[in-house]
Amino acid sequence: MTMKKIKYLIAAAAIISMSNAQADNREFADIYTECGLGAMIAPNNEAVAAVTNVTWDLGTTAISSNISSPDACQGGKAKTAAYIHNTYAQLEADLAKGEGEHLATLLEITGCDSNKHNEIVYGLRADFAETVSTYGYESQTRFQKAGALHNQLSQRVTSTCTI
Amino acid sequence: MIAVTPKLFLCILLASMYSGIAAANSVLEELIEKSLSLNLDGHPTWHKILHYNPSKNRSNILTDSFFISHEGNRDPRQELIATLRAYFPVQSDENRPMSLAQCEYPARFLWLNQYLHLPNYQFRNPQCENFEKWAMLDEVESISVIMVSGYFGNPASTFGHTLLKFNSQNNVRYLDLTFNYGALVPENEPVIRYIYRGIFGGYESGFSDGYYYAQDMVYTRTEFRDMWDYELNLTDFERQLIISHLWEISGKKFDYYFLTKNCSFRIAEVLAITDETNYLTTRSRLWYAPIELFNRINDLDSSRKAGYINKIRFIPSSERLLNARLNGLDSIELKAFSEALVSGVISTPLEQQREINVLNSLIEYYEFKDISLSDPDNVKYKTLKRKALHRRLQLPPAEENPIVTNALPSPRKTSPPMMFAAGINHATQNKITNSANIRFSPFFYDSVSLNSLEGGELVIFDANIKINENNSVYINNIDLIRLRKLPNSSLVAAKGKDLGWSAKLSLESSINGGLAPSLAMGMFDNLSLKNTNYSYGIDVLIKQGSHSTLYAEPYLALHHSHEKYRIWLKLINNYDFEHQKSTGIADLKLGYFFNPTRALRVEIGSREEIQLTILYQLFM
Repeated sequence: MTMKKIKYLIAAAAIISMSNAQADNREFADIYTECGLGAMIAPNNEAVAAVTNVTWDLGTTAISSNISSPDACQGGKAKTAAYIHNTYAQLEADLAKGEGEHLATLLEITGCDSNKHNEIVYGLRADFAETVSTYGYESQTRFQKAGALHNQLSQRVTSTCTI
Repeated sequence: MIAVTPKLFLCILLASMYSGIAAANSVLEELIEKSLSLNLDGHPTWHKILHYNPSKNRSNILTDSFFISHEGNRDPRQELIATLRAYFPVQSDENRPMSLAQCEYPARFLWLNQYLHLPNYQFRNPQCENFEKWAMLDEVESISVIMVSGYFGNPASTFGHTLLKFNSQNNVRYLDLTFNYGALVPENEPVIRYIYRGIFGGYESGFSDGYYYAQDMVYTRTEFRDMWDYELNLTDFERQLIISHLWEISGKKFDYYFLTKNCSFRIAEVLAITDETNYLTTRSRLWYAPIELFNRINDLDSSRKAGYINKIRFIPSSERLLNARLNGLDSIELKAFSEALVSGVISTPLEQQREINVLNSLIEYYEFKDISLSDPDNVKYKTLKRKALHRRLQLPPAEENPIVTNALPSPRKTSPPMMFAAGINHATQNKITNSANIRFSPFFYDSVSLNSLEGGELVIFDANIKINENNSVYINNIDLIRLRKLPNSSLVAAKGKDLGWSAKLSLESSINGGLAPSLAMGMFDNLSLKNTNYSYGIDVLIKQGSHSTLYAEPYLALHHSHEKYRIWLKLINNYDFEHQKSTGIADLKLGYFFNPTRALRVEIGSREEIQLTILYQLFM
């Protein structure tokens, strides 16, 4: 194979992988939009509401209450997305340690067989290490970081998981 | 044999349908008659299910769709009849699905079935898919009431908060369903209107559900509040009734009053549907503070044969966990942690396990500091955390030993908030005077009370009335509000510790007679050693009706806690700016508890005159 062909192949592979990444990112954003999570969690606002006695999602129980309405929100996808977004800081720490209650909860949500958990955590930890090494990671919004983790998780789980 | 023509078939069909409908109507009428003969429309539990308020002659629920009858909002009898009517399907046909009313109002029918034995009734109706999915009846094994500690960062949260949790059999508690009750406050609501409407009404409110992890994120990891989880001892029926009732009322709107119809009271109302004594909601106080519910739960636990509380679990804030984590580092790890704080990098070579311990601590510390900043655009601690994460991810996974914290006493072991006291006062200035002393406060979390906020204070309207030897009654002083917030717990080797602050707005005796306003504000730092806090700080006083208006009071203070008593000693150097004069003042307070509701209080002070006060306190 000539050097030119190899370069074309590499470029093609890069384009395909970027496209997939963009498609996955769009999927995470779509989950938020379609399942009404955007109303509950403002992606541009990192701080959690301080007035905790205020009920600001009265009646909005699509995700939080185990009841899913649109088909697109059925199953674990929206639940997983919301959980990752909400608890991202704790998932960071648990992934770094390789264990922890928030990480265990994430695996519970995915519905994966327990004998797959170690394998998933091992792979996810490696993916997360790459993410953390990315230039500008600290400046990303929680929404961006959660989206990346969600996509990595989606790729790691096998067909045995219900996500 | 008779040939069945189409006309004859139609007649037979219509006749059978009519007889079926007639039979169903007959059963319905019998049920209605029986329910009325049993006075179920006037039964306390039926009224609680409807949230009917007899004093207002209407339900506390504002949402019309909650009621089946057009008059249901005001007439429990009509609502009962409409509920029974809704139980039966429109047409009598065994093959048609049961009325969906059961799926919408599972609590009503669960309760009614006890008395009426509804035909073909089954609580677990397979047609009620949404309810089954939401309620997770096979997984929920208990219900907890959670007390969230007070939070000075938001006036509405100062006195604490209450929520409910359904505990599932899973070991993963973060997916448990929780119920929160609060007011619907518009965005950017002006403070004055927020306070006015919150106290005097004007907001709608309601229950909303959410996963426990969302509550944990807000309360323990953002506001750094502790929680106590009271798992209740309920029968299966009681648990099912509460779950079903929450399904009925979630998303429905109520009116909101901060003092009386707040989160704790509404949760008490939900729990009260299984308690015929009404003790949880009987209100003989000026307000229903969150702690009130837990005092009453404690009383029910004592009075019920089987008890009302299964167990109490203390859930420390993330700040408290961080302190415990750092206190668990050995001297080598602590040194490495301190050195790495600014750079995020451990410069001293460490064996792997020690390096893991230090990195885990750095990651948690930077997260705590980042949240404390409350500035999402500030990446200072995010950058440091990233460095620690990056290095930690290069090391293998390692299981951590659980972090153990000292549990704070649960609310059941503290005094109720309202305080009434009587005693004597002995004063020595130019002459000796004796007086009787009466004191009252609707919310008394004082520094030497059993419910002191770890040496902190939150006291509302502490009125001090004296009766002198001439039987003259006069108000000596009223502390309208008195606050003392301790600094963040000492983080070992951490830099930039927060300071504590105090404030007092009061009306004090004036040299011209009567009462004059006084404002004191201060900042302080403290050192905690076992059960003793040593503080140093400075207060600034602005007093009218005194010899001077402006004072500064640097001081040293000591606060000691024991299971049976608390001591507060403050040594002050009072500096009068106008007269440029310093005066030494000593304040000593001692609280001795016979039990959570009875205490002896001794106060000795030397401000303006030497005073000795001895009071017998009742907390209720």
